[in-house]
Order: sequence, then C-alpha cells, then structure tokens
Amino acid sequence: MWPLALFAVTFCIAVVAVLGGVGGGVLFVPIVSALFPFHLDFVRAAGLLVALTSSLSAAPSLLVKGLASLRLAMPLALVGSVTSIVGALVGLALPTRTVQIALGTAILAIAVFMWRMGRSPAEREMQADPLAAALDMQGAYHDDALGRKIEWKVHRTPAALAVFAGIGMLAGMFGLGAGWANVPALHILMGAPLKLSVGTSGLLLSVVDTSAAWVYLNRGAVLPLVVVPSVLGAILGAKIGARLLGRTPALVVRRIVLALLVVAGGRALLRGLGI
Amino acid sequence: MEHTVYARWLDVGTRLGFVALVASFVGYVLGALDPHVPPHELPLLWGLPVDHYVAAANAPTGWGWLAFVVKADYLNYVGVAILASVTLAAYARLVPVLVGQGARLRAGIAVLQVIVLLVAALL
Repeated sequence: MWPLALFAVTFCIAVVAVLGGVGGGVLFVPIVSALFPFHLDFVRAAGLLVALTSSLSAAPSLLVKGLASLRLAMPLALVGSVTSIVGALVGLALPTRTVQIALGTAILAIAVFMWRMGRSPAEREMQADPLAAALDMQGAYHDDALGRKIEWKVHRTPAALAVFAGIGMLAGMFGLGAGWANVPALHILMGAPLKLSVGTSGLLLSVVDTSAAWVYLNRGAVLPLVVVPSVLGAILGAKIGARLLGRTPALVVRRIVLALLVVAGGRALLRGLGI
Repeated sequence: MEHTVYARWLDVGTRLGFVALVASFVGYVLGALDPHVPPHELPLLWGLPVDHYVAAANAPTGWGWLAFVVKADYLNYVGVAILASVTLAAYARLVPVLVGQGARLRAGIAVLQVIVLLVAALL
C-alpha cells in the first residue's frame, strides 16, 4: 500500500515540479518525509536516486543538442561531488533531530531564495576570467527558437566554485536535487545563457548526486520499496508534466510550489524541535 | 566529439540500469525470489535510522550486498549500482578522448573526478 501511495505522491511532485519550473528533487525529501513513515535516512537516499535517475535520463539528449556543456560542468562538478560526499557523511552521522532542524531551515531558506530570485540579467558582453579561460569554459550552441548560433563564455569562476562546494554539501546532507541553486549560479553568477544553464544543471546533478548516492548505498540506506516507486513516479510525472507545460499558468503553479516548500520545510523544522 | 562519446555512454548505461532496476523490482513484488527482509516486516523497520535498521535486519553494508544478490530485495541493488556507476564509466571513457584532443587540463580534471567517484563507491 505504502509503495503505491509513494508512487502517486512522487508522480504528483514531478508534475508540479515541471510545471513550476523547479527540480523535483528539492520537493521530494521534505514532502515524502512529512507524509510517509520512512526514516529520513531512507528518504534522503531515495531523493538522491530520484534526482540522479532523472538527470541521467535527460543528460544525453541535452549534450547532443549542445544545451549542456561538459566544459562548463566538469570543474564545478568535481568540487560539488567532493563536498557532496562530505555532506552525506555528515548528514548520516548527525542525530535525526539535528538533520530535521537543518533540513527545515534549508528548505525555508530555499523558498525565500526562490521567491526573491530576480529576473535574468540582460545579455551583455563580458570578459572570461583567467581561470575560466585556462579551463576553456566557453563554447557555442544553436538556439532553435532564435534560429541562430549562441556563443558563450563565463566569468566569476572562483566564486562559482565556492558556491558549488556549498550546493554539493547541501545535496549530500539532505538528499536534495540542486537544480534550484545550479541554474541561478550558472546563469546569474557566471553569466552562462539560461538554456545552457538549465541543461548543464542536469549534467552537474548527475555527477554530484552520484557521489552522495554511493555513500547512502554503502550504508545500507537504499530500500527498494521506497526507491523504485519513487523513481518510476518521478520519471512518469516529469513526462506528463512536460506535456501539460504551456497549458497551465506557470506563475500559479510556482506559487503552489513555494507554498508546498514552506509547509514541508516548516513541518520538518517543527518535528526537529519536537513540536 | 567528447560530448557525443560521453552522451552515448550515459545513454547506454542509464538504459541498462533502469531496465535492471525495473525488472528486479517486478520480480521482488511478484515474489519470484525470496527476499532477505520479507516485505511484511519492513513497516516495522523502515522508521528506524539506517544504522539501527542494518543491525535489526542483519542487512549488509558497503559492497556486502553482492553476497545477498540472490535475494529479491538485494537484486534491486544491481540496477542502483549500475545507475550509480554510469557517470564513473563515462568519465573514464572521456580521459583518452581529451588526451587525444590535447586538452590535458580537462583530462586531469576527468581523472580526478574518476578518483573521487571511486572513493565514494568504496567508502
């Protein structure tokens, strides 16, 4: 019974996440840990595997179309994957109540961040920083909507490496997908085009979540009855969500997503505080 | 060039892992093999922290699940392990491609990434 309910809830999360323009990974852990009797350790492992499978499924076509860049992702993924291992080890070592409090606080902070996140910066000329130039973090892709080739380069690479270290830590500690943070870091901080940022975010997730997933797998935190219905629900929900995209008011759905984050984050925080 | 190679390895590996995961789960649900932990006992255990669960269920940790792979629940780990290994394999395949292109710095990053993923898998 529980696996069927989990499949249904994960399916709904994935539909809402696609329509709201956020990764489902950030919704999975707080909502499933609030609604289901599974310990947070198993939910975090499932959350990582849901985000990992979804990102692995999407990455090949994005790479072939040039909408995800290995040149951009590789240095950032290396830093993020190291810190995600540290995050996973710390998350599994801390008492459950401490993790609940930290998770609740992080989810509420993410909701505030998503609510306040500004519009995309205007496309402008920029100089690649020396580190980005040395790492050859530049390229081009064909934008079908614009009907032309878009050349890109990035800047503020040292700051971005520090940001991705923090993102990896959060992903490993709480089992969260990090699309909510990857895209603004790539687009707003580094100046990568939005489409490339969205595609490369998935590629980054596939590397960062792999590292943390191994830690949870090796600790025995993977329960097939929790993981597989979640993965199937997430993949099916994302496909249905993509079909509904364009027929639903994005702003309304995004507000629903933010409300869900506030409720789920608040509940995690209260549970951690024993209230 | 490197995008095509990496994408092909991800694609093949992900399909393989996904099929293994779904097939083993169907077998688990249908009772094709005996599980290590019977499904009716799981609700008594899945509310425990993972360390307590491992002790109560006498469950394997690390790569110990390989010895339990004939059990229906741990057969699912094969698909999970494939999905968790896809990126490692694709990065390893990338190294000679980048070296061949003369992109030594990026080849070095790929080698470091392979090492990090191996450490994660062996922790």
